Amino acid sequence: MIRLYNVTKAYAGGILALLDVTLHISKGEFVFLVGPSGAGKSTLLRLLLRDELPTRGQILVAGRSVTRLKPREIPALRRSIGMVFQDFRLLEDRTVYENVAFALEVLEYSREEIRRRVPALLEMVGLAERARAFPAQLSGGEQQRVAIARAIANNPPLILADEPTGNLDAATAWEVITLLDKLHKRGATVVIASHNQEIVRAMQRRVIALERGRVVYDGAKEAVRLEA
Amino acid sequence: MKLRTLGYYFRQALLGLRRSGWLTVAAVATVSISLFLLGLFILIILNVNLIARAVESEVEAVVFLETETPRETLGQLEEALRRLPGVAEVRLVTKEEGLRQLSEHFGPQHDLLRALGGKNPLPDCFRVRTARPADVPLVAQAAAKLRYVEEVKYGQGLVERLLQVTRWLRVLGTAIIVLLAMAAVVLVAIAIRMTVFARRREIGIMKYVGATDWFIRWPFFLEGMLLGLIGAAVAGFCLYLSYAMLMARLRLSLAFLPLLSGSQEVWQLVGGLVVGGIALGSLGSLISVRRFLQV
Repeated sequence: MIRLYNVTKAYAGGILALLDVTLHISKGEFVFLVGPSGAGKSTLLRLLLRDELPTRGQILVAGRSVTRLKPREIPALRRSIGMVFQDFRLLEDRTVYENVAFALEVLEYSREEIRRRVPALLEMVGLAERARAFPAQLSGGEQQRVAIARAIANNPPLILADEPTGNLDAATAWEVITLLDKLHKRGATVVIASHNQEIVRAMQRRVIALERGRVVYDGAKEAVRLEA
Repeated sequence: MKLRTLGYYFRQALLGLRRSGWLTVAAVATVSISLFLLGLFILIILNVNLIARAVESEVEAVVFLETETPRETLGQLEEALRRLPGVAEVRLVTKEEGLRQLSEHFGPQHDLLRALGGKNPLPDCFRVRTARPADVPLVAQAAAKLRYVEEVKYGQGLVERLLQVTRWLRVLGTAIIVLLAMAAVVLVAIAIRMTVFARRREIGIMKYVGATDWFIRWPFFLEGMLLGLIGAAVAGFCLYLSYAMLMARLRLSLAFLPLLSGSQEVWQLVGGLVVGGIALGSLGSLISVRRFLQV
């Protein structure tokens, strides 16, 4: 699903966000990306979304060469990725229902299709009762679940989450992680950037650790090494 | 493009217009003023050209005869004029005919004619046309020396002066309109920028969920075009109205001027202004979308 080959990302001023990163994430995996802030986790996700281009190296997402994408091919890449942010990024002047419907409107789904899908999505994230509420009336965990419903509205095979529990307390953080786990069980590939050690340890999934832009630990490779 | 999507674009564009408030008003007003002036200058130039052409076609010498010229000598005089070098055509206009032309022009009930009280003060005259307009002064000089000739008049020079006026108008008008059009484009661009700013969160989400660039851009273009269109409509309306009123007055006091009065031409001009307004608006939004909407 995701392949990075010797990816380096340098910003103006010589700041190295990523240095010679090579990693593979297969279809159907659930991966935690960990590391201190500034390690390059967010940069990595932005590169996968083609928000930015790497300075060097190759990136493949769902068989597409992200680095060779023409500008007009970017929307198709992003439609195959559901992106979840730490700060939810909901539209405050729209209801829960409208926030989720927005993603489908923008992708030019028909009215009937939107009417069919949105309630099902809200059902899945456990917010069917709050459809008419505004984001400000929801708890942080609920807001993040709305954001997840929006991210998966068009059924993307890949879900990327950048510190999805960063703004949440322990209890609501688990709501969100459980939901992402549920989506993983339904077939999505999930990559979560997080520095919530408790959750990462408890979940016991593949962990990729970044430090100063380098991969310092990759659960998949460690497993191979231990077996050998 | 789906119809529903088009509806979405329009709703967003109208929302943008409303959200920009006074900036929308300012942009529309600037577009209106520049297009109104453009239309005004075009109308003036068209009319002056029309007058110039009319005058040019009438570049002929009019040879007025003394009032007591004997009728029998008219034939001889006509023959003498015809023999002058360069003369192409000579036509006798008797005083009766002159009066008839006058009453046709003004209408028989016109004050001017009633003031004459049935008397005819006009002299007989010959209208002398030359093969080349440049020969008129020479012919006029020669004609003035003939017997019974009271006076010779010709409109040479008037045409040149009129055309010079339109040349100046064109330069001055172009300069003013270019400046105003630039101001209009800048104001449209600022108004669009406001909308981009107000919608930046939405735009960010749209990008992440994979909206196409044009899906994101269209509402802004539409907003700019609407600004231009509304401005043009206001300008066209004002221009049509004020021109119609002006014509109604001029037709009373300056009836002899050949003026552009057909509403077809004026409507064509209004149509042109609408196209111009949309162009200004599109240009303004293009600038803003390219600079502030990085999609």
